Amino acid sequence: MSNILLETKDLRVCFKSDASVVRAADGVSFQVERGKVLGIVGESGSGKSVTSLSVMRLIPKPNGYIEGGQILFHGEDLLRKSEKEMRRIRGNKIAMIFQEPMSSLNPVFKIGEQLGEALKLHQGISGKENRRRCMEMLELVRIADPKKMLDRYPHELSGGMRQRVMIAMAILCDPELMIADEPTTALDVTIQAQILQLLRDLQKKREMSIMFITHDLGVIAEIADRVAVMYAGRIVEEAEVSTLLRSPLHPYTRGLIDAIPENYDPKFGFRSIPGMQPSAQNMPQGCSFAPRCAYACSECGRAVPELVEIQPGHTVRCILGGKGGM
Amino acid sequence: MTRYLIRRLAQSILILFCVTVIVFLFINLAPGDPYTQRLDPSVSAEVREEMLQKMGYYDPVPIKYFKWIRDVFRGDFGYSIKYKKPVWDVICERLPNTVLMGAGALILSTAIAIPAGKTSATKRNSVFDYMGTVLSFIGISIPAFFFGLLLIKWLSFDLKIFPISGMVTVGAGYQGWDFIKDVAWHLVLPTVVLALLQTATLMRYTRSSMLEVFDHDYIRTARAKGLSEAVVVNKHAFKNALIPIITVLSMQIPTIFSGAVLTETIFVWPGIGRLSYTAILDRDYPLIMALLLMTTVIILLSNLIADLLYAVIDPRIRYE
Repeated sequence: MSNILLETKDLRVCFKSDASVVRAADGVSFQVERGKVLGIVGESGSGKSVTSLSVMRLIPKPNGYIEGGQILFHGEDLLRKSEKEMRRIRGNKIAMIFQEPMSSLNPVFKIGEQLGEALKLHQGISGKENRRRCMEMLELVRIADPKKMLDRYPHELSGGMRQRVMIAMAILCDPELMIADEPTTALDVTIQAQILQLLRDLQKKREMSIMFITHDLGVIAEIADRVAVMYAGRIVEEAEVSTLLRSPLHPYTRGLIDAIPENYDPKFGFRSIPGMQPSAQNMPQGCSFAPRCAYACSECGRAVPELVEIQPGHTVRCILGGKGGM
Repeated sequence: MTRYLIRRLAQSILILFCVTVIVFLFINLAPGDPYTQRLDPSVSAEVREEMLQKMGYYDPVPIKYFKWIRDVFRGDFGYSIKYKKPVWDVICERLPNTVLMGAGALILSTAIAIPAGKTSATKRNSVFDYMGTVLSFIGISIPAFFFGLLLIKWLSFDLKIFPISGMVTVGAGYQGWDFIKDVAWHLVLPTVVLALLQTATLMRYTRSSMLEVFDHDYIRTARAKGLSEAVVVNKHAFKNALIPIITVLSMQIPTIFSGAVLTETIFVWPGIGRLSYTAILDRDYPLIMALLLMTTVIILLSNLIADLLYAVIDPRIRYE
């Protein structure tokens, strides 16, 4: 049996607006191994959420659509599945948690109802057994008094509690893959740490794979095994997390690491990457990072660089082949 | 909750009092007396004066109001000047007719508008949505009397499918099942006319409310669970979209009881709407006041019910 659970190949996702078509993800390829955590890191608008939503085939219609590529789950292309087949996968084999715990739960249904729904749908479990399983899950995500929780409404819970409920909802049907789209971004720092710890424990215990999306390299360092850095709709570097943090090859990755407040250097002050990510409407020719890159040369504007494997398991999309980042 | 209810009811009584004072004042300030319209011109002025004296027409307005409200508290709404019987009896005769038509129209419009509004929202910018939009704008902008006359001309006069007016075929004397069929047949056109405006409004509200809900994160969560689109729309989205829909419905409920003046007048439907209209023309003060009182009570009650329903649907709304 292959060790690859999920693999995207050359995934391209577009959004139509009034006049133009914008490519939000442009040839994204990555692999998620069984029982491993792949972190996808990038700033807002880099296409990381769009990538994760396409795996669920939940790109907002009718403006968004998947232009091409493949999303292989257990070697089967999800893009060829019917909507009905996809529904059997969503929430069952692949579950997702979102950035905004405050608004991701339906305000007019009780927690028990919202949790139990997926269990009933995918496993046909209802009634007392359904309630018991929901309580078990709430206990697993360390919610005190899970029985009471079932009869509460989302507005009665704090953000951290709601995110725990979302996680309980996600693991209820024992998925093989969990997609976590910035699950800790909206939480304050202490709660963030608890939620990360929880996710890591659950992932180990249940041998689940996680695709973890964030803009925070610090979070990646704590949870991910491998990490892919996205910039303007493309993956620009991918490596094991320790390798990437220790010896980044792409100037963008280097910039991100330098910008972590913990890497504050009195000599430079807090550092940031100058400039802005180009909007998808006016993408520069060639390397999309070139306009902000300190190492850019005329060569960079010629064509989009290919992803090159510099060392085994470490790929980078830069013509300098990593020399610029060191 | 109980405290809230008591407070709301107390407020309602105060509003009711103000409404009766204002209405009473205006009606009594209007020129004309109950006999201007109906009395034979040959009746002598003295006889007429005497009749007016006897019914207290020349009492000062505050005294008149006091007399009226005193009787109302005793459950006596007075004696209709025109119909020569207790106001309460007159209203009770007409009320079922109005409820029949009003409830029919409300059920019809809800049954059409809510599914259509939902479909319009889920298939936004589709042919169905555009057609729905155009039709509802026609429905909102076409006056009831015009649409009513149009239907009468086309379906009743030209095609002779439906009766032109009234509630029963005059002189047929149907009994039992035949009577019900006869009334139902007369009911169709006025109900359709009354339902048109309600359908149009309710459909627009349903559509926009659903569209707003679709943008929320919890809809994406529901889809991510693997729920079918039908469950996402009808359960997760619709329950959240209900608040504006209830508001619109609660504004239409008073129509069931107070009647639709225009529609009832055009179709000569013997309901409360037409009764109010003729009562005003006839200066039938006791009848006018009773009808207005009834309408106000119903409006206040349906607002209260709507507010309570909000709390039933949305657990975030609590009344303390």
